Amino acid sequence: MKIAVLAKQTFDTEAKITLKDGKVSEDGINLILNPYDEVAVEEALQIKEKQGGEVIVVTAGPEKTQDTLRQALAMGADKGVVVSADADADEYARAGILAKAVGGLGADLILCGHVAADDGSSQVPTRMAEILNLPHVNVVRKLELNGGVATCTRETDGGTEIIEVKLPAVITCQVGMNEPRYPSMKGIMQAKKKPVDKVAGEALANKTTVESLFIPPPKAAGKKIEGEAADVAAQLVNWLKNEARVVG
Amino acid sequence: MEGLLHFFSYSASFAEASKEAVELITRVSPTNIPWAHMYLLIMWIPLLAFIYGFYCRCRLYSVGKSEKRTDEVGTRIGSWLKYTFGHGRITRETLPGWSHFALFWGWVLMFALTGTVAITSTVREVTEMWFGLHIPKMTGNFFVGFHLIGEIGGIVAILGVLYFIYRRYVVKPDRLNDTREEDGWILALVLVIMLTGYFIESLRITGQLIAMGGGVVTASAIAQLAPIYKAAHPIGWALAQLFYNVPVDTVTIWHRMLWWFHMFIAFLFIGLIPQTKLWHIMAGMLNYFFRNLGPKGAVKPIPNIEEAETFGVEAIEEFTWKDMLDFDTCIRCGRCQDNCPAYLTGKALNPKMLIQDLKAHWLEKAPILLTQKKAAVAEEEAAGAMSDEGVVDVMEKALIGDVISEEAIWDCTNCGACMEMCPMFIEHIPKTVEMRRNLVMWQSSFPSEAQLVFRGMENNSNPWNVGWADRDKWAEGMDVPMWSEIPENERSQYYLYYVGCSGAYDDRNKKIAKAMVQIFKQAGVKFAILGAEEKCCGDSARRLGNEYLYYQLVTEAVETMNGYGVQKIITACPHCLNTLKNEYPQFGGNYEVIHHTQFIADLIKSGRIKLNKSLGKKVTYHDSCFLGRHNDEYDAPRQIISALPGANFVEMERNREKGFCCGAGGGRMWLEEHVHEGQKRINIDRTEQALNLDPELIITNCPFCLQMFEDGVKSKDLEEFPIRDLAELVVEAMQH
Repeated sequence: MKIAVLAKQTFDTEAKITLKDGKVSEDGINLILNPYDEVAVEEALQIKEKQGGEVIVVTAGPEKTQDTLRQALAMGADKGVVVSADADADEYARAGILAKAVGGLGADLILCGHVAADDGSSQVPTRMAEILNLPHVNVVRKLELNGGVATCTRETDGGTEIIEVKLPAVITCQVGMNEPRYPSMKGIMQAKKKPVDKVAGEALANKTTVESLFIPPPKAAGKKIEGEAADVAAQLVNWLKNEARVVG
Repeated sequence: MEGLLHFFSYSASFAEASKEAVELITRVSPTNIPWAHMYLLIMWIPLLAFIYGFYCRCRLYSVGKSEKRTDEVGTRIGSWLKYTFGHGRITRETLPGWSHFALFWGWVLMFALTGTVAITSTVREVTEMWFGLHIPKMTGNFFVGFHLIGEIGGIVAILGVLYFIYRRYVVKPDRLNDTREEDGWILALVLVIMLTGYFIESLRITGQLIAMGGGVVTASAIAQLAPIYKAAHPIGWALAQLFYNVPVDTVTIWHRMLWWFHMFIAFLFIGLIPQTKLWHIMAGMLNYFFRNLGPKGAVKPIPNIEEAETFGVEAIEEFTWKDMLDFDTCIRCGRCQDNCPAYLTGKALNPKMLIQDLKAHWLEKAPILLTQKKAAVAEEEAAGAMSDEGVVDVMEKALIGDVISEEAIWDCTNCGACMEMCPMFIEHIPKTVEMRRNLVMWQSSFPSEAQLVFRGMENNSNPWNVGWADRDKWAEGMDVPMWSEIPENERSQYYLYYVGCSGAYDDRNKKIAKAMVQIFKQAGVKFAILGAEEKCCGDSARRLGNEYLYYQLVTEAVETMNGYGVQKIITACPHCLNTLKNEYPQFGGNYEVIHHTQFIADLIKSGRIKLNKSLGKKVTYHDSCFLGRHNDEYDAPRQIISALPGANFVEMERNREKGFCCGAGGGRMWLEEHVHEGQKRINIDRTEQALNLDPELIITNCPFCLQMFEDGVKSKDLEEFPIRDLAELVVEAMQH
């Protein structure tokens, strides 16, 4: 079984976001492997450990995204592919670039996180599946493989949904599917010797443009009205009418 | 030749011995033992057995990796003399300790006596005959005095042995719960050697009395010998009365038989030392010599970690020779076990068994490894010897898993009670940390909770993985000076207040950081913080075995602090304290590091802060392990407590060196504590120990301890019960 895993390099989830010249500043920001993709890597490794096979991690981005691949390789993936892409590539461009790279791998299964921790758009895997004309199951919590068929369990509002899909397929993983392993020093050392292919990405123009970026204003402090019930109600109505102006 | 024959066969008769005794005030050796001097030949059997055994033991240590323990030879010799002959570590427990002291010194005195007798009576003949060298006989007051000391030594040693027998077989304390056959017969051997010595002496005295009285013991014979022998051998003299009515031939025979028997078992004793638990005599002395002279709170780094190819200890032979000497030194006294918080709350870890299990595995595997090494040189032997089934079993045993369970390895809180209590300076924690290193860095097998902690430290330099940029948020609005704002030429006057992750991020502990700021300002102390540039000190990472992460954190922190010219550091966390002070020098970070309780105690002493407001409460204090045992600071916090107006202080039973861990050290702060049926969490046990004193407040000096106690009182449905850091109480008392 050949498994391709899409991995994105994202900001650390706790990073303090600041803007500089209208862009998100990267000063002092730790870059990590998108935690959702980390789950996908772990899932791929568990499948490999059970059934044998090869795990190839693919990432699109500038040169430094390699660091992300090293982490996945240290966890136990066999090979990495970095497809060069502009850091500002939008979902359309990114999906196209990745589709080209992944399509050529001949993978039986394509896994990735269902969302990236930075932009949170959740579009790339779906778009890519569409381009590759592959079936696609989103936000999966449990994955079982049986002779070319994947049984995917996903949570829906108030229930669970089980979907069977023929491989090859694109499946996105939800946190909680597994517990990603912590790379050992043995893994880190071996990762240094594992191959990473560098592929030039297709030059695709963005279909969207970013007008402006802004940091949400901090929440104003809440207002507390105290006193007797009747009194409080009167004050509240007054406030809603005259200050908040939400009732006429 | 004839002279030699005469020398070996010579022995004084009872009559001759008595005559010389009265003339010179001495005893003659040998008396009534023809061919006694054969011992000079026979003794080479046990001596060679001892030397060969010693050599074999050392070969077994050679299986281990190298470790330098030969620096500061003068200090080491001092340590060896001090702890061997002073017995300072052993006598910290009164009855067992002083009993051992008695046995040891009684034995030493007896040995010195026997040796001197041999030199002044036997060897002197040889030296005179061959070298013309004249050694004077032991006579007169010197004879009486010297023998009396030996005589008393023997009794003292016998009392010691009797107490040990009583303790092991009647009292049976929990820590001696693994009594083996060997324990019994070694005690018996020692006792019999001592007792037979006295009986030989008394039979000789009786023999001499009978000889003087011409066949019976007479009053005049007693009167003549009493001033000499009653004074020199009071016990032998008293025992002699038992034999006054025994016929002279019988006394002669009994004396000879007992003499040979005594010599046989005494030689047996010497020959058996390297083969039995008696080896602790030699191993213990070696361990006193080779003990760790560095700061006891420090764990050793992995040299050149970036290039390392193995991490931690995965097989017994990856321990160092000193570790193996540690295994071999353990005499199973169980003091570690008596003070281990993990063992006392029913965990898998028992520090005594940890060392004993390692020892057993080392003893079964080391000889095979030695044979293999030899076989590798002389190839023909190779395959055959190794295919033996038993050998294969031993070689396939996994150190971690089969010999020591992973559970036991993770149970340790690194509290150091085992090491502090060990009379022999055995180093338990470094061995545990080495095995954790292997589990974490090589096998990637560790409690899953630790992963979040590692990630947090990696990404945001704190175990909670809160954004690193928020590290100075606690100080908002308090006007706390930032180190980067202090002019470079003034920095040497400033103290760096190292807040630590708890003080910076944990809501409860932020109060302590704020209290420290108030104290600094009140006392006019020049201080600053690193703010968001401060890093996690890395203690938990190192203690959990993630040395690589620790290395990364330290390297960064040292770069920052050295770059900023930091010299003096104050911290409110004993874990930061310990690693900054004792372990950072391994990475080029050399600072004067002070715990906040030490600093505050000085401020009070010098009058820079005044404590006025009365606390009016009964309080107890918990010694944190990393300030106490790892850094020997027990007094500063107590000085502050005694300076707090209206603090009625009561000590817990387990305090100072014997303080009981809160359960959070060694990175256990971040791990789930798995409680076995019918057992308790460590922090609950400790909280109960405190609450049993009916205090109104519990005082801590460590953010981890504070949290453990707060959890502890909560579980007792005492949510409101106050647990306070000393800094908080000082701030309260500073108010008018």
